[in-house]
Amino acid sequence: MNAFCWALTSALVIASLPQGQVPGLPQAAPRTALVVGQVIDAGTGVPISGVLVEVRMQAAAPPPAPSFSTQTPRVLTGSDGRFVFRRLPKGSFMITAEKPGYLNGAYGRRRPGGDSQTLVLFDSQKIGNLRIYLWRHSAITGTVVDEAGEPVVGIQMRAFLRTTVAGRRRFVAGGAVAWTDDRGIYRIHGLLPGDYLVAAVSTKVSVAAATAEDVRRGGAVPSAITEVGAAIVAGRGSSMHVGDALLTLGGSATGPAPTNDGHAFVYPTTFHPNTASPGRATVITVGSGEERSGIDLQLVPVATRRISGVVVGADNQTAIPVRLMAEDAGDALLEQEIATTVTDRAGAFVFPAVPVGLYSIRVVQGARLLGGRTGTSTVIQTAAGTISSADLMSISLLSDFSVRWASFPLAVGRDDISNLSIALRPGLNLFGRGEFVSTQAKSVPRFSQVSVLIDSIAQTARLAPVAGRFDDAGRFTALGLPGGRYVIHVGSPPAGWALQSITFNGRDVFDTPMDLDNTDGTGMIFTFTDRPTEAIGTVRNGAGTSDPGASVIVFPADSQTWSAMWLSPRRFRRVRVEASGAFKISPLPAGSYFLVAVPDDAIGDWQDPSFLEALSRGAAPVTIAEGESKTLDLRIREPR
Amino acid sequence: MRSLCALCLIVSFGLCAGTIAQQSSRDVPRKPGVGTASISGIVVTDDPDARPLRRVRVFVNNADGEVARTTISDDAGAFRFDGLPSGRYLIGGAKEGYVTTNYGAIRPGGPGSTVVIAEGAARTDIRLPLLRGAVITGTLLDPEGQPIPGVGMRALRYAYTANGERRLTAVTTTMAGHVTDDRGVYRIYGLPPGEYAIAAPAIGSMSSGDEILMMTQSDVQRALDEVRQSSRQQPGSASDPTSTISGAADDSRAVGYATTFYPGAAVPSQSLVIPLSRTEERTGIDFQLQYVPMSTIRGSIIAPSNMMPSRLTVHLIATDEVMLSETNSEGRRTSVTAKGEFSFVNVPPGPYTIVAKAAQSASSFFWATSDIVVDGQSEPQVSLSMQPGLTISGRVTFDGRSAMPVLSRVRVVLVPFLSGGQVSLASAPARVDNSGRFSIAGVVAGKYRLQAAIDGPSGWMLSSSVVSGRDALDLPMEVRQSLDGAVVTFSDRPAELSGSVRDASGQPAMAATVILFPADRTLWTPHSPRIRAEQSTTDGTFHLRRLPAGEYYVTALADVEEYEWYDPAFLERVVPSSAKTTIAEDEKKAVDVIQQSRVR
Repeated sequence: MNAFCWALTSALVIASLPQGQVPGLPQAAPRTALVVGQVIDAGTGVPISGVLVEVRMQAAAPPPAPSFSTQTPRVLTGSDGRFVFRRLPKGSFMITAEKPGYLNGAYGRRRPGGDSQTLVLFDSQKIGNLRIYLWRHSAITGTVVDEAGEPVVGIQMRAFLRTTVAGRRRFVAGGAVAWTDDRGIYRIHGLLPGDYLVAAVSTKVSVAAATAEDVRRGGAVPSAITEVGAAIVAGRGSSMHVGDALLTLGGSATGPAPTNDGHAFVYPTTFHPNTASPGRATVITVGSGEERSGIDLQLVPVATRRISGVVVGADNQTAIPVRLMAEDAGDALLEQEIATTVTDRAGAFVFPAVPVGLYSIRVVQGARLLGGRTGTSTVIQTAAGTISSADLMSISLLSDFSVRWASFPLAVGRDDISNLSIALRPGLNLFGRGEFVSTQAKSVPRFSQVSVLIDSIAQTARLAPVAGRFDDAGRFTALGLPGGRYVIHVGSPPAGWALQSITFNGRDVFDTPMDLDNTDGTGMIFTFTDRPTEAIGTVRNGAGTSDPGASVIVFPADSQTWSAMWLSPRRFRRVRVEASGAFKISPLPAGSYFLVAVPDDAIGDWQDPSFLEALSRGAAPVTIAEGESKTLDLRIREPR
Repeated sequence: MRSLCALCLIVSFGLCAGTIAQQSSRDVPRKPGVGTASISGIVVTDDPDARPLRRVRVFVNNADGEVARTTISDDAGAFRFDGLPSGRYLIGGAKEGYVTTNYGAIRPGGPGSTVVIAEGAARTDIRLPLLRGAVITGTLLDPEGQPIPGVGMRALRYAYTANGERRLTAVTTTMAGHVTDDRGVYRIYGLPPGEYAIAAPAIGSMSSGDEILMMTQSDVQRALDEVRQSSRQQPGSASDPTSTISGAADDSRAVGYATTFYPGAAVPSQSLVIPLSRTEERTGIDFQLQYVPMSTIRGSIIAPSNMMPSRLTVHLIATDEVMLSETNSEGRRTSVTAKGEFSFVNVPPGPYTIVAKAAQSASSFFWATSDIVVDGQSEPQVSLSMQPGLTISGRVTFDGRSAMPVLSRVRVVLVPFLSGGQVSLASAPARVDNSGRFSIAGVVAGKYRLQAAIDGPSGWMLSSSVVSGRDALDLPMEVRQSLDGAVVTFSDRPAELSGSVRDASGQPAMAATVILFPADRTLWTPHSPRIRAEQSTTDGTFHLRRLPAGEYYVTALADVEEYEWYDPAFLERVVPSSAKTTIAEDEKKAVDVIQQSRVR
């Protein structure tokens, strides 16, 4: 597989063309460049037909997230896998290729799920042999049976890929959602190579029976009930009374009928081979394009308790979603929503069937939810049914909302728990300031140009990011955050400036999650500089030519820190070089580092301390001082 | 959000008119729930072994929907419901991989028979046979013969729409999805026996968004020649600075996928029907998608001067004869340029309706529609002339001595009368004010039935709605201009018809469909309040409530398909075997009906 990487010579790709080579550029940029390419199966080397290839030009002034605008129609490759883009203007381009059954490919991508590169074209440039590689999806398949050995039909299966989130090992859902068929067989496809947990996922959704009755009589279903997906009618087997609640059926395995005292046995989320705990599950390693079969599961129903209580202190206590998460979602290997319900008119809630275990209860009211955009729609009736089509012009975001929330741990043991009282409290606020630190006595730009988003790292919270604001004096505020763990995203700073650091009470929170527990956060400092601390350079191969196939890994010289990456994930970085072989890691906290260039397709689990140990051998530490722009040329080498 | 709620109301309202037995006893307000009757029994496999079947979701619903319960069969297949109030119950069972079965049904998945039970009584003999569903499985391939993952396949069969038209309609089973896997394999299970067509719906990325051009050998060859030539020249000095159109290659054609039917047909009428017997596993239903030429629809809007074009949305609705799903929320839409132009790119061949709507405020609304057939050859052009929305207003009256309901509980709605591929912009139901007046704004010209309903229980029945001197309840009216003076009348003197159904040997016939329809053939329209159908109970009785007075035919048949009674051809066939009966206002009439054999 390596061969093709090296076959792609950097001569094809001209980057950083010296300015002034095309003198007398007319006002309207001429469209004279031409790209011919080929899409190839990375596993077999065979060209792939029917691939949808798209070229997008990078906008001249990149907004925070680099955005590309469509300039040219998409094309489908013919039988030789080839594609042509004509009449391209000069500029920077991204080329992507997709075909069902393959991971998406892109120009410059050297490994499944790896980074892409920008293609830089000059006027009239003609490129004839650009190559894009696609990797086949991997798949996991197996059979699910219940405690009696009967196949479990029609339940949801998910694979969770091991990854590193902010320096911590986590498992996040990957690949397609799969459902067991009538033989209990499932097949999760669309997977990247990697380490996975496989689970039969079960979130118990319920509403109080009285609430369901109210809703049914009232006609309109509160959006919270729709959002949690609760069935409100017990008819046709869609849900079942468990005590005074209506438990939604379907999606997960059907357990036995509830007992006379209103308790039910349910199938909890179960990981391969047969455990409810992700920590005790077997990790399945899947290679590129590999099919792992025989990943079977056996489900066993467990006894449950009834947990009930009331939410107080809400603006309007009706239909507030209440979620039960496994342990503390922030530190667990994997986020698991165990049960969801909504409050009734009096703010009361009940979880009718909760297995014994450690949980956290989480209630958020009034926050914007992802996907919860409101807008008008046009309802079109046909002879056969109704079509609802959203109107374009009238999508309005809620702008005035007040957040109330609560989150606390809950241990469920031998007994039912009743009369929990959940007091909602106002959203937390963040305060601080921004600083522009100039080394050249530049005039300080306006702070209001800088956008900040405070984003929850909880995947199941479905909270929309909250925008923070700077006033003209540089004071920073972000209002109405439910407690939890957040990361801070800062939009692109004014031209000529870079964000050097974000600190929260003296701690570095740049790219690092910060916890908001009980009180407002004060003392956030955003420091912008016109001279960022950074490392720049070019990666060359043994022959001394620049190497577009490399990634650069930077990590602290102090090996003590390697196993505690989460303390300072900013010091552990990997960047893909540009097509010219150039790289830039900016900003970087000042310190002593190893910088190593390796072939991008040889990067495995680079955050593993033993891998870092191997990389560090024979490398010389580099010290980068505050405000220093260190230039380094790196020679590529195979790890180990 | 508000308009989504309105949608829910419209949907439930629209269906109200048609479903069996739901117009029944709203007039008896009753506490939900609890009584002293019980129903119990056993679920077994519907095969010669008749094994007990565990983990079946067994449900009972009473006829008016006030009681709905579900339990799970135990390891011996047994189930039990206690504490039921007296009433008429439908019983059924559902289990993944099996055909959802109603008690008393004469075919798997067919309509069931109601069980009548009194307070204190116990029915212990309910035997519910569940048939293991049949399976259709195969592989979906792309035009190059490679598997296509991620396509949500549909099994379709001919069924009556709510308007009494026979169409290929997607079958719903207990399955969550029928999506092809990475090998292109799909497996649709839980199917009742019958005749099926299989459809692969168009794939989103290949049938929406921007144009997709198919590369040809000559495109590639010519481009490679240019590259070769230019490598001998100085970069920067090359040719063709005149062309300004962005594009891929010159002679490549725009392609995409359209919905394809097994064994590869583009239109449903050419699909091959697969007969499926009980519990059969039919393998090898493999087929291949083909690229189809895609078109761009270009259009222009002619707007009156008082309309703000910025608030205009244009919707593209496919109006072919197949129902791939009951509701489709993925209608394509676009906005209009300042010059009043719009376009839809990447449109597969087929019939469409374009609907333009500009809602500026609750009272100011403009609309236009146009039908168009896209053939993949020509580039269709449309011109839409925006017209102001119409308003239908009037008042609600109550003819009777009962206490009037709270007027705010009354909703008036215009239900469009559509057939075939016709579409209509829905207007929101109107509330009635304190003086009994209502006003439905934003109405599009067309044929409508003017209906009204009272939320919650009441003893009132909608008896007529008169617009411009014509009844717009029995017969849809043509709305061409705004109208005032509509009168919607509720009556508290509904008639009823009850009785029993007997078979040829004089025995009570359970699970027969009793059909009541007007003697006047001009009233044979879908959702007419005079066309009624109800399943007989297990002891062969039926009870039709809230009937308008008039002259009717009544008959009873085994195995009638849902909504078949709205098909005039069907009614014409059953007239000879039907009995004529006249029902007066407020009359509680009893008749006995002999079950007839099916005439097809």
